[in-house]
Amino acid sequence: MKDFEYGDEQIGEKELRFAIPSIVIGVGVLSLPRVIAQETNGVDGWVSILLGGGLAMFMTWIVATLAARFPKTTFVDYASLIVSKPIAIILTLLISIQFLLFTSYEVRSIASVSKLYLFDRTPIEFIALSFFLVVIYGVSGSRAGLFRLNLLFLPIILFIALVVSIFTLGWFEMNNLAPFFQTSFDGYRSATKFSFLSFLGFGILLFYVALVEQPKAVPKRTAVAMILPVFTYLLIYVACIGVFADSAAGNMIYPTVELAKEVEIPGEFFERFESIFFVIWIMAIFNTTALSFDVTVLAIRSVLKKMSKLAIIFTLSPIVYLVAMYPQNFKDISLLGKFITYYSVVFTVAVPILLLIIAKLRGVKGDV
Amino acid sequence: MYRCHLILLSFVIFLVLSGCWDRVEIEQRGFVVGVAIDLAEEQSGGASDGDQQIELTLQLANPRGLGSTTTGGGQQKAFLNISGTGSSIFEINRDMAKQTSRTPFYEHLKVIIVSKELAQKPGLFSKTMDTFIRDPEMRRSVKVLVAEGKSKNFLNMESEQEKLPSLKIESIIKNTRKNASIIEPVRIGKVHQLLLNRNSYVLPTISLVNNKLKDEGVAVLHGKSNVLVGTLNKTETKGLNFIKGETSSGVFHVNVDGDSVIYEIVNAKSKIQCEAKSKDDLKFTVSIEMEGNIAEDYGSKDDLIDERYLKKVESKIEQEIKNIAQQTIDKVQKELKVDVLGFDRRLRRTDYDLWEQVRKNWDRGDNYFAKSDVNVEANAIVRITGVADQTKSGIIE
Repeated sequence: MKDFEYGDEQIGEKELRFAIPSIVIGVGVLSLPRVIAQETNGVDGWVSILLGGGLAMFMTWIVATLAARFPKTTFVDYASLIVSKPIAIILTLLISIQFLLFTSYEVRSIASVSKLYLFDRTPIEFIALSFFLVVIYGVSGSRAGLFRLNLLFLPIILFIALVVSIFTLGWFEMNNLAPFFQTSFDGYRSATKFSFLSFLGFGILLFYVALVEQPKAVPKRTAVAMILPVFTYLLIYVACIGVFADSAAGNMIYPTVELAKEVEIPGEFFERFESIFFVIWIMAIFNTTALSFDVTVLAIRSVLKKMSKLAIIFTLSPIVYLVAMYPQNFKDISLLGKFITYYSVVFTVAVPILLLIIAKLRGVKGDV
Repeated sequence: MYRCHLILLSFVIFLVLSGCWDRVEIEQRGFVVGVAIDLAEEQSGGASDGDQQIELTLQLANPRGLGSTTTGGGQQKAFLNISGTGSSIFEINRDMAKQTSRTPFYEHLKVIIVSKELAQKPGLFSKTMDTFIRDPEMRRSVKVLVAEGKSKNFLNMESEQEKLPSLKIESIIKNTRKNASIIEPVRIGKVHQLLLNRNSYVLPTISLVNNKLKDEGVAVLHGKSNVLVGTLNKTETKGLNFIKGETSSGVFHVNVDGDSVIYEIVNAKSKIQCEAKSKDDLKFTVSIEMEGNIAEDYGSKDDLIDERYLKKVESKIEQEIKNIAQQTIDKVQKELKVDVLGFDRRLRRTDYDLWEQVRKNWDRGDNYFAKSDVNVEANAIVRITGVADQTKSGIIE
């Protein structure tokens, strides 16, 4: 067998635009309507989703602006220019830990959801392993190939989200949306926080922008690309509230999966639509996991330049798998998820803002 | 060397790909289409935890009996009913595996029938619903019904068109369009929502009269205590549908000047308005608007085209609507004191702060619902009077 090389390790700005929704849409949306419904009354959560989404768009723009300031320079190199080499290396490693944990979290979550709804008796370790092996295979290959998969899967994913929302309209009750604007300020604030946290993932831009030839337009375009997940989430959230009402949606572990189970194609010849939904959503989660694992590998490789890509992948994979298998139950998994989101807030929200400010103050710039 | 690897690899692939932990052959799957839940006949002494003993009956579809008559299959019954007794649904369910060679599989469940007696026991209804809401195999679109008498008898009904009694029940309760005194089927997802909100609600009831299925009337369940507190008869159910604006068709029989006029409902809407000054001064106005056609006119004195006569017919119909709605309100508000009319949700929308004050004492405790004023308004419109004016001459000799 001979390796087939796809072009080179360069991507276009269009691939980045697809990568943003691809990494954001993952397991988060399966439970997001619950979290939002618990905090808000009626359908008020739409305000929070828009606010959180707006904030996420702004952060995407910040991160991309920072990375685009130094065209064709890796994160560790431009961070060295801004805040000395040792700190840059530490930052890179810490961020790579974030993406490593995130990969574990996605693997474990999809394994748990599949076990709950699809594989009653299959051990969760095996479900996770078979999914993760595919991810490892994907990441071992060409990076351009991964981006092409994003391009291929994303329209299908958005389409299925649309189908789920449209074909549940039969159960949609306007009464469930009321009362309007009766949420307390605290409710909005905490729902906005949760919605913003579900849009994390723009951190990949810190590393991927370096691969783009002409990154000038990247900040604006990736920020605009963030609109896609925001509207997908909004659509699914409103459908969940309309169909289940806030009380029941806030009570279900995975309201989005339950919504998919409610789908009725007119004519009653098609039951169990959720099987199709699962197939497509596993594609979405594959994209998220693969991108996240790829960024981990990319980040570590930028520090340990002598190690080959495959060597890094085969060293990291067991760690990812063990971390994924560590949580004992649903509570532990959510705890891991929570830890990762707060960790990410530090390293992909606070750190890029600081770096950008310091870079501006010191006037450091990449060569254009 | 390379070849050796390939052979090894293919062995690994065979090992990994040929296994399937969750494989259940389709012949071994028992497709549960209907579930009936009753109180157990007698208490077996073994119930140490003090839980009420219940009897669960599952209706499994028998694919062989379902085949069309020409393909053979002989005289096999299309279904198989199995029963078990215990204190929890899930335990009974596991016990039942001993009774049948097929594992019960719930993804195609259509109806859950609960006996009236069971729903009258405090808290038991929500306990039995729990597993149907919790289990990932269950669907939220399963319909829930209350049965007069033993619910498992309904799973043994004879029927000509449908081979499976469960499917027959399901298709009958879906026929809300032809009759104003049947309510929309209630799905278990809705039950979950109502239980969480502590809203009181109604469930359709079915009964067997001379081994024929009748689906009229509803059972009223109280939200807080979750107990069946009463039932509404045919007319009261009609009124309930009028008030909630859920009538899509039906027939009215009114008497105008000593002659019958039959009015066919085409479209009905209702609007509940709420005037909330304080928690002791709540006023609800139900406005019912109905559109319909004259289907039959036995009178021969007046012209239907005559505006005065038509107005008279309309006002008679309005009177009738008001009567029926008032009957329901009297029963629900004064007798049962349970809000199944959706006034709570109306108030919640109109004045959320006031609702927060009264929600704990809405249809329990101080019962602000029973104390509130309710006013019914009706407006009936006759759209079409048919293609002929009169069948026989109106001139009296």
